[in-house]
Amino acid sequence: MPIAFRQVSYEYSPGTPFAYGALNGVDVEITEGKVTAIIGATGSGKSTLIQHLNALLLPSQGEVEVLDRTIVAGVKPKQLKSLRQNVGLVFQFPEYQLFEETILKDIIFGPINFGVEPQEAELRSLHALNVVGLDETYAEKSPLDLSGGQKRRVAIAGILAIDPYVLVLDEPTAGLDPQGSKSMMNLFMTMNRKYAKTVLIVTHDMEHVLTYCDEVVVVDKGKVILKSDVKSFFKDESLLDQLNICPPKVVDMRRQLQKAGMNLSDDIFDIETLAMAIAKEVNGHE
Amino acid sequence: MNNIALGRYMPLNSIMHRMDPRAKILAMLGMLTAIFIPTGFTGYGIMAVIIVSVVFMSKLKLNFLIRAMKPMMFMLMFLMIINIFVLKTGYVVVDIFGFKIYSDAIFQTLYISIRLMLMIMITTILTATTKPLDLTLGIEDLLAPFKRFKVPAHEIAMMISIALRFIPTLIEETDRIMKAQASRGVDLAEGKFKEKILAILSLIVPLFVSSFQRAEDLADAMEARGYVPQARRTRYKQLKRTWKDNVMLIIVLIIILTMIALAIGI
Repeated sequence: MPIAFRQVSYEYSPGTPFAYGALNGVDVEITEGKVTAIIGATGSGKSTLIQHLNALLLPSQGEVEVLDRTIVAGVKPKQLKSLRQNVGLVFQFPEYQLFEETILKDIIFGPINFGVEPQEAELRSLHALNVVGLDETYAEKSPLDLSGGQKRRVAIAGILAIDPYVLVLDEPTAGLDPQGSKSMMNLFMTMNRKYAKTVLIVTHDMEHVLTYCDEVVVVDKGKVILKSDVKSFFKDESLLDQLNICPPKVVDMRRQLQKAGMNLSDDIFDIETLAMAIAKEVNGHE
Repeated sequence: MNNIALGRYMPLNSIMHRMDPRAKILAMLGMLTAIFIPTGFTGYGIMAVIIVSVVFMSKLKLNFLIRAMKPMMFMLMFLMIINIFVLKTGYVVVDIFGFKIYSDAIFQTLYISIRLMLMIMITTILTATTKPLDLTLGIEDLLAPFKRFKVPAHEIAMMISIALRFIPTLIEETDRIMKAQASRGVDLAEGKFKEKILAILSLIVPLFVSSFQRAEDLADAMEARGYVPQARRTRYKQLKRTWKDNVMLIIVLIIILTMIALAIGI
């Protein structure tokens, strides 16, 4: 079941002086079962792009194919609930969407809306709470008393409890401390590896792209200008320069060492391997 | 949410856009007064012609004004129904199985509808051609003479400008939360009554929480910059009145006088 954009354009406030084309002919196919990073400068259209995935925004032109549904421009789609159940979208700063008295009630809100039986929904919600790293003692607390990072976990649990096939996250680590963002990214890895979910993450952090993602989609001025697997993306030095992307520290370090005359393989993408390779080089010269 | 036309500024360049906000506010008040003078359909016809020509002068599209009036339709329907049931004077227009609809009910509704529509058009012209900030500057200046009677002109203007400033922010926020809750299966269009209540709750609670948060942040930011309401301050933007503004005000005065003349039947 593919996720594909075909010549998708989207215009905000059409027909007014505020009209603004956020997407201009996007053509891309997202590989199922992988973790895909969506990168691009602020205002390039990333958020607009992902809101097409569960039909919060409908294309002005072109068509979007998501799982078993095809949304064509100009045709008003019906029964969007099933689509939204299958594609879970987590917005930027999702902690602002909490509203219930207790955390459990808030998490259960989604599954109940999609018609899951109350008992089953409760089981799922408690499970989701565990998955995001909060134990059952939190279930009866008020979501408004939590810290920012914990609130975000609860909000994400609210989407996980819906149990979608595809998980879409808009800058999930924005404003979190390094430890918090690391465990957040690990959570999404788990969702992909253990629960076999297709994960899409909008991010600005190249370290995260390298460490946690399989594929990368580059958005620029409302167009997808590149889709590639992460390793070959970071190997292509001139491409990164051209896109004005600062490579992750490991890649940068390797590059600098190579420039300084060290003989290193281009396939080094983590610190351990790099350290070993350097040690080997240094020892070999003595 | 982005389609709200009522009270929205349209960045165009027209003679109406360039007028002094103070003169525009006064002209609006004058025109509103003129609408409330009971002149019958002749007067309303004249007013409608004048107002529509002002709409064209300000380069606004009629479409935009019609959209601004849409929220009123429900109210007018309601009014129509009440009037049909309550007003029993004039001659009988329709008789449906003994249920009589009287002429006054229809005329009364028509009068009020026309008045309301004209009023909305006038206020929309003002808000669509004047930047919110200019509007508050105008209000502050117009209120200045009342300072003598302890009217806090500056504070009122500040409150209005803060309120206006946060309308787009709140709309954006509402839009965002609506989308977030839609992703969690909220469907405001369909569903049972109880579900709808919960859906609205899921929108209002986060909106309140973030509004209070914002208000607190703003208060802190203002205090950090040493804001004192009573302090004397100068302005970067100076309002200037030109002969065009005077002409506009004179025209408005003539309209009011004409309406009065029509009303007392000279």
